[in-house]
Amino acid sequence: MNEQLGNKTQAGDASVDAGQWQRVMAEQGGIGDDGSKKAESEHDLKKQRAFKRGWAGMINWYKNHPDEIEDVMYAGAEHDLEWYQQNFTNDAYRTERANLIEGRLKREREVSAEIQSQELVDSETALQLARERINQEYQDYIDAKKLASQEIHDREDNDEEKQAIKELQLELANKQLNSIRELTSEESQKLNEALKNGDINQAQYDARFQTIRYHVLKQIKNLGDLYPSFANSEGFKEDYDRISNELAEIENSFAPQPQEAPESEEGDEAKDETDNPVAEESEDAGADDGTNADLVDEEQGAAPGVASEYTDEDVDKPKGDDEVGSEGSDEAGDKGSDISNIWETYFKKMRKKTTTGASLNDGGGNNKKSDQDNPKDGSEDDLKDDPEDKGLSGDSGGSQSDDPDLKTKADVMRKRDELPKKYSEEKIKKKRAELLRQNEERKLEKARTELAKLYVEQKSIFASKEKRNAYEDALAKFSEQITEYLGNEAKRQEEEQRSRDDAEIARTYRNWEAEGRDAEAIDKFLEKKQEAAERKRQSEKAITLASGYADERIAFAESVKNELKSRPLYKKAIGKLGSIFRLGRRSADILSQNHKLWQPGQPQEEPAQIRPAEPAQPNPQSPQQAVDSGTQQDRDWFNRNGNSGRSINDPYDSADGAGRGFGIDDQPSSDPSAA
Amino acid sequence: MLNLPNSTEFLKDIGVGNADQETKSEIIAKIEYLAKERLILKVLEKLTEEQIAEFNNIEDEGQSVAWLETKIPELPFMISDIFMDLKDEIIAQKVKIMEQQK
Repeated sequence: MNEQLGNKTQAGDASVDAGQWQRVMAEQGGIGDDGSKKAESEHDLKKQRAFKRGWAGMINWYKNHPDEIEDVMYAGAEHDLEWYQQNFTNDAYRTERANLIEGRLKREREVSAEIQSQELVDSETALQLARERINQEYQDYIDAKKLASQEIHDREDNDEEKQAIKELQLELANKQLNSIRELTSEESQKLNEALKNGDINQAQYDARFQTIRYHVLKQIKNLGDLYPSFANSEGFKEDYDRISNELAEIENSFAPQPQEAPESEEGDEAKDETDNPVAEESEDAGADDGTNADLVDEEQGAAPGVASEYTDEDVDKPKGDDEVGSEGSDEAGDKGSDISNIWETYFKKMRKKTTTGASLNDGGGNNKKSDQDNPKDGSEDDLKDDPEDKGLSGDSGGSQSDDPDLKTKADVMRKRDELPKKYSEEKIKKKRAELLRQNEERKLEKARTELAKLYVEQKSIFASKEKRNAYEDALAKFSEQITEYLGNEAKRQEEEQRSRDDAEIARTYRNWEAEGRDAEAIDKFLEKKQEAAERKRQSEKAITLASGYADERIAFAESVKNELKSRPLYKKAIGKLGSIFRLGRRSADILSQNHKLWQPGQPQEEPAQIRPAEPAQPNPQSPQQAVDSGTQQDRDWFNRNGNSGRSINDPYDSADGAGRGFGIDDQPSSDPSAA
Repeated sequence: MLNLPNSTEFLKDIGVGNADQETKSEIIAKIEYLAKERLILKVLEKLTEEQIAEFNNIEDEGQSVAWLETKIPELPFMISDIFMDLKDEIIAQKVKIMEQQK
């Protein structure tokens, strides 16, 4: 043995078993149990270094020598070094090691016998084949573990991906902002021209201006709602909040309000504006921004009905010139600058604040009050003259970026193509799933209502056969719909839970890895945790299905009952029956061992509130709480057992114990994941 | 006698025996409520409109129960049948969905 160990050391491999070294050195009078005695020769020095290098080096050696499989079991003991240093010479260690080797030998004999019986080879060959097979099995096991570990890394190592999502959101938001800007510029230009040409009067202009303003703000807010990264981007959040508040004010000002004449010197003409929310806004929010339009408002009433002609569609699809009036105005340029102020206020800031993707372009509508000496009509010339638009692409709606690496639109597109598309796809997928679910719920509700009516119709003993058949058909269809709905719902919840579980496991993995714990030991433990999570998901699924089914059937029964209640005769009977068929006990006793399900006619001391107020929910807190609380449990368990080095790398420990190759009862005393 | 299932066994049978207590209580409450609703409808199905009118005219609750037992002798069995049916439906639903999602 000494010779063997010495050879390993002389070959530069200093990672032999520390316990072996310890005993060898002790026999040779080299170092003592504490490993502190100085070496007496170069050979001893190597041994001592080997000892000091300890388990980390040993583990590497084992990984490169899978044929030493019986020792690999100890590879998980990296973090138990202290324990082993204190105990590795005691009887328990020796017994354990003997069992380990015995287990390996036993396993070899079993496999060898199997090979020999199947392949008719001699015992020596069979034994050799058995060793190779065991080694290969072990290697496969290790490879699978590494692969699984890598997959977890790949799936959850998403800091970069999160950043990519953020960038993608900003780019998409900017792109859509540019579309809004283009549209607004176009509208602005048309409006200015219409006013300039006398096609519309000032009041019409004002009303339309405020309509555009309203929709622009709304679309910006929608962008913020759609892209949280955009809404929360540095510097924009404040603007976003202000836009939200302004929109709320505008919307509150028209939707539910009684139509009262605004305080206006213009009398009836101004009153007509109240019919249109945006026209009303022209007096409220419009006055706040101090635009020329507000000044004109005080001098000139809005034309009746003008604003109401301008709808969402109008903003999305600009009207032609034939739709405007005939009055002219010299203030067209000023009005154009009013609209462009929207961009001044919100969009130009964004251009400076967003750092990626297409930046904003003030475009044709970017006429400023300071330019009143040279009123702009939103033309390309104006854009080119505008120093604020330096570096921006006026004809394309703005595709250049502040990012020096994104100088052209092509650069932006290329960059976006490089971003992980799957996230936008996932978002779309999620949205689609939500819409599908809502659609299913609507269909289900409709089917339920129809079925309830059919139920009542066919209930009469005088009901025709056709009606009974119609009910039966509808009932069958309804059942199918419930199946589909619950199946989709359960699947959706399962996927969401799986995502959370995987994330939790990955976090645990990373934390433990960062703490320097042995990767294979962690893998072993996390595998059990994944299995437990799968069991829990299936349990949650069963709950969702049972609870959801009960909910749907309750809803149907209540629909029928409500249908029947429309008849006084039935209404009274239902009331009486409901009073008679009461619960036989308090709900607190529901789960008592001897409890039988509900019996009629047993008055209860206090009515149990049994009607669920909410639709079926799989108790969303519970799984996460379980995971959270389990994390500490896991740590405790790991601290107690995971570092012991026992069986952690045992590729043969199956659930039923069969095939455990090493003869050691290495099951943890309390595995939380097995619960 | 009624052959009502034990609630614990019922939950096990429908595959939610390992749920936490709160969830189990919630499900049992739903099941019992649904059973009650179904029972009311089933009783109404068994009665003619004339009988329903007669039933409505009985003021005393005890007499109402006795009257129902007279008109619907199988009433106690209807209750246990409802629970059995519910259990079967839930299990069948679960199996069907699980099969579809394999």
